[in-house]
Amino acid sequence: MLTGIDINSTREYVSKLDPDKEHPTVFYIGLLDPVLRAEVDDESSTYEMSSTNPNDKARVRLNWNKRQITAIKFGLRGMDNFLDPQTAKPVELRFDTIQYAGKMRNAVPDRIIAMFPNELRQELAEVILNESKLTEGEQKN
Amino acid sequence: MAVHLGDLTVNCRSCLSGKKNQCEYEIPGQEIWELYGERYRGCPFRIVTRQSANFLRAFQFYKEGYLPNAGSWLDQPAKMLDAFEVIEKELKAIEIEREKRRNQFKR
Repeated sequence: MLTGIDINSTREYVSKLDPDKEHPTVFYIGLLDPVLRAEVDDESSTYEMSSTNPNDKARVRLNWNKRQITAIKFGLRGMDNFLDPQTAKPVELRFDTIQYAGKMRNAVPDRIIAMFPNELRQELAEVILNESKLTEGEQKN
Repeated sequence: MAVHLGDLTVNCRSCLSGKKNQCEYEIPGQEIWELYGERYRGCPFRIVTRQSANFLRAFQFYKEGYLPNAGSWLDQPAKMLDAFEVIEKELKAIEIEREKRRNQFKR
């Protein structure tokens, strides 16, 4: 069980969308540190309010895809039995090491994220972000 | 809730270690416990999750100056830091409540 204390701990997650119930793909979901979580949250929206014309409306831009990709890039710590759509063989996940949010971090390569269908990307990103937040129930407990 | 349970005076140790099967504080047929304005179904000690208990334990070490993971504050899980804020807030609320009670008896 992911206790939320060990930064290197992971939780196994099987997608609800996985059609193979006998040998599903297992994703290993990790925890985000506060800097990383703040970066991901900041990437989700941009507000533009300053303008010389007072009649101009504030602009809000929501970057959901970028947010999802960043969350997966740094929050996914491993996966088993994910088949490459081209070769139909399990993908071997090798992390890139990149500078992001103040330090060198392991990141899931873009070519792997590109293999995930859009719905799976949304689902994984939500699971990763929820794992790094205290839910209302957890706060009360 | 886990923070407030430490403040209760009822002795639940033997019950939680499995020595008792009947709670003397629970009224049969009435499993709703009300603590600090919150209502819980069943014994609140049993509702506390392992995660909350671990957060409390980590918080005690943190107060002594130890963090569970290598590195600084920023290298810890964001979720744990959120939990620490909740615990800190609850402890302050308990302290304020105690202070109020103490002041009631002062002249």
